[in-house]
Amino acid sequence: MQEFLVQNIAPIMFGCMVLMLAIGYPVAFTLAAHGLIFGVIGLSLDLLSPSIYLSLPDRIFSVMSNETLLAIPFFTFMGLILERSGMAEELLETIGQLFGSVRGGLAYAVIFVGALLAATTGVVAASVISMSLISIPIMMRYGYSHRIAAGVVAASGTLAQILPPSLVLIVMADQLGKSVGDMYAGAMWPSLGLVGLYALFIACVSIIWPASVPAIPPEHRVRFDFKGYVRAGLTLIPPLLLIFLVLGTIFIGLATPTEGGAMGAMGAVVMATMRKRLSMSLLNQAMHATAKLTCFVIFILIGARVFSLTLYAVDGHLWVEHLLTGLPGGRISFLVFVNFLIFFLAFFLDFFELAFIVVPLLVPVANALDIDLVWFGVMISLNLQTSFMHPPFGFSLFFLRSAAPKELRTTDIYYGAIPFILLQLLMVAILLFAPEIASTGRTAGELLKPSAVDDVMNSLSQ
Amino acid sequence: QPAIRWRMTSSFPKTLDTLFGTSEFVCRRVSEMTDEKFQIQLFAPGELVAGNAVLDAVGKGVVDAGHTASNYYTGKDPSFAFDSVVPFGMNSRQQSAWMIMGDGKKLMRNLFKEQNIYNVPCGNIGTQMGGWFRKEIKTVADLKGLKIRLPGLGGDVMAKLGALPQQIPGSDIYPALERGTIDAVEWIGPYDDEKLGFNQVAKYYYTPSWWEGGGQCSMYVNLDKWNELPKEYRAVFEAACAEGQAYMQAMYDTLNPPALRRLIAKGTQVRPFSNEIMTSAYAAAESIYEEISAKNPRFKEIYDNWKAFRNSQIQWLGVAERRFDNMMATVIR
Amino acid sequence: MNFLFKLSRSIDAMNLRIGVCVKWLVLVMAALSAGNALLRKLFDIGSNALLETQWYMFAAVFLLYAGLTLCEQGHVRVDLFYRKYSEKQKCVLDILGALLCILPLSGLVIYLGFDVFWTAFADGEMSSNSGGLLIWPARLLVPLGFILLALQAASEIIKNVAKLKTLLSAAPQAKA
Ligand code: NA
Ligand code: NA
Repeated sequence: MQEFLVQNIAPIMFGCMVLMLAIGYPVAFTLAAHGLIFGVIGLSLDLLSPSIYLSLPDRIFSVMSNETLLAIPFFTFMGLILERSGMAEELLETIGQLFGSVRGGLAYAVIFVGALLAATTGVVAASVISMSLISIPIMMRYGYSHRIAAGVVAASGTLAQILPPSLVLIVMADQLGKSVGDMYAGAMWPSLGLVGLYALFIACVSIIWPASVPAIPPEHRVRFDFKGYVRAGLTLIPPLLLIFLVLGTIFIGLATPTEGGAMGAMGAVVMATMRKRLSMSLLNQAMHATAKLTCFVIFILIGARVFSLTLYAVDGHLWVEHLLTGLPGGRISFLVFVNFLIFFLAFFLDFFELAFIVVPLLVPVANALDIDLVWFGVMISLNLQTSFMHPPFGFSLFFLRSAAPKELRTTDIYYGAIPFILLQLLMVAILLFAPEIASTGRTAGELLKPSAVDDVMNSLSQ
Repeated sequence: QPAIRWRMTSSFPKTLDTLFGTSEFVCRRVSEMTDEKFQIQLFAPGELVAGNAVLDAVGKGVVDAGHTASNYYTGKDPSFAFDSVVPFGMNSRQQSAWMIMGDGKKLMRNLFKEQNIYNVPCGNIGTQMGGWFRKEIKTVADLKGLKIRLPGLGGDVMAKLGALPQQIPGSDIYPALERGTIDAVEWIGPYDDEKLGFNQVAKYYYTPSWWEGGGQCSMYVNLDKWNELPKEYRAVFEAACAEGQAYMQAMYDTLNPPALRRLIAKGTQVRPFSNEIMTSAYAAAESIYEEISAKNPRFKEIYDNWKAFRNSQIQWLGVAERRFDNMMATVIR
Repeated sequence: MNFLFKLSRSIDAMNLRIGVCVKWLVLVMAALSAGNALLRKLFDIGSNALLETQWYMFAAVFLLYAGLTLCEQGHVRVDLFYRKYSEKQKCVLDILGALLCILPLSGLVIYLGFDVFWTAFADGEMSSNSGGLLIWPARLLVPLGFILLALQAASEIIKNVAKLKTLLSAAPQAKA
């Protein structure tokens, strides 16, 4: 019995995690407690020494001092101000109205806005939370199927992780030893392809199940005359200004991507004030909700850090490593196997664990098979996107759950996510057989001949 | 001999195969030399311990050993920098002499003893490059308002010259340099820099890194664990670290030249820092050391010893070594 | 029991009051970050202290809000089964969860975190970035946040035990 435990501690840990989370105590604390419980089990089996846990404060500290995570409060705050002040609704409403008689119009608007938001942030939590605050209520009001509404929001929000800029691609570039710029360039077309697939899916749904994505009912439709278009144009100005503040300030070299989020948040505050939509109570609500959502997101991260500390301490990563030994040899069969493996592991591990445990193990094999690492990395990143969407433990689904109104049932979120996971897998398959989609176009050839390089080197080493 | 199993953490990510590779090498050598009886399991940063928290972790015994660079811990006490690198400090060879035959070992051991750590030099990067700049820097005046990502004492010196050290988040570096939100970024040398692709977003590559004329890495061992270790294993461990020391330098010396050639071929413009900049920076560094010495007696004690050693090294190496090197650079053209 | 109720109420009130102050940091850090970008671009003004202040505030927000977030049920659950539980079952789960999940973790983090804070405080540890800040305030936030969390967990236990009692005493009456 003891022997069996020692040999299989990692899979047992994964299995128990699923069971414990299903009990229904808050995810953050369950993850942490699960890590500590298995720490005690590991101690009694002599698998680890208690001194490992002296690093707990430091693990929390490294989450605190990770400035990239500042994007979470910034984008959440922006989303809340836009939502509470009614500006977001106006935007979606206007775009929805422009599509007025088109079935699925609002869903297209959500995908479009989601892609725009994804182009401004690399942090999934930020974009899923702000997207669900903005768009779920309005879709429900116009009679959308709850499942479609939940799925399209979770999926469009998750685009943040694959559409540059992206935390996932940055970590992946680091793990693969490729430049971030190459990864961004490589991910550009596949992620736009994904946006296209989402839209195509909505188009199919609107033909097959028209009732689930209704057009705006005629009595709510705005007739667009010249003035109407002008008014529509005017409602588009604030969001366009915001996009400039977030993306434009990064582009002109004013703000770092993290600061771009803050520019957007402050821009939203200023705009809401100018349009007299910002009351003291609204500001208070928005700050309170931002602090609360930030707290819950970061505590999940902290819980996961406690869990992974134990996982490493009992050599759980070695178990994953052993899974990978005896990989099939051929190029395509290797890639297919890897994608299935990652898809499977994504049920249990979150993106960071996958990126840090699994990817480094795959790189030497991929290198040996002469696989382009940028292509490979983009493919894995696309696949990892499913890890945010897996019911019942995908992080995007947690974020959506926390920000969506109570009338949206959790099962709707789970069922709604499934078609989009399949679409993501479809994109992985497309990329597998059409690698040129991920070509970077950045492989600047060598400009100088070896003799010219010699001259430069010689003149430098005087 | 007993079977012993240790856990070691590295401060350096696996993608830095030169730095992480050295700790892998040391673990392998220890195992080979003890017929696999003394095994060290190596962890990447973040797995058990964050990359910049190795000092505390080893001192407390979270892990038994850690491979790191001591200039990460100058916030605790600037004296730690002498175990790794300080602006206008010693090059790799001079640093080794101070650590092996000079007073460096004794002074550093005293410092680390208070942290419950036994330290062993283990690897040196060699003279690093001065980083990637979007525009040319010719005079000290050009440094005014220059936004550069440069941590530690090097950043202090830059700040004295009027630049703005901006420690922006790691994930923001590339896009910020691309768009000109910051003007310059420093990392390591051609081989490691090439992988990050900075050459695609900044044209000028400056040399040398006067803030990192070397870059000694250190192996930290928890002092209690060290004292418990059988004598033979201690000898094996120190021998493996000494091998690691040579290994890292050899690796960089072999990998950097072709990497720099590739960068130049792709259009990177290498520029030397002007003498005006370097002499002003030297003066600024000296005044910073004086300031710290006035407040921190331990820093002063180490600094005085270190400076005298450095100056004697520079004089002697100039008499033969540097003459030979310069002559060779001329004749192979 | 009366004393416990009072205790629970004052913990809730304390976390609420802390939240009222801490939430302003959200606005302040956004303004600081955006302002920092503008100052740097337009006037070449900036420092690592400004950059570090941002994440100090970020840490203060999520750590000092830990108690209030728990109080307001702000932590997400996998509610596959949870939403089918009876009120009684929910009470029992929340009591056990606070006892077994939150309190041991908090105890460990408070104990270890205070030690880390104390070392940083005694050494006068600074950030190693040029012009960086003192480290100990950030180190102090860790045990502080978990103290607030642990207190709130205690308050939740008290409230849930009380609720369970009324539920249990109400149940036989309903049958009768
Ligand atoms: Na993105
Ligand atoms: Na460097």
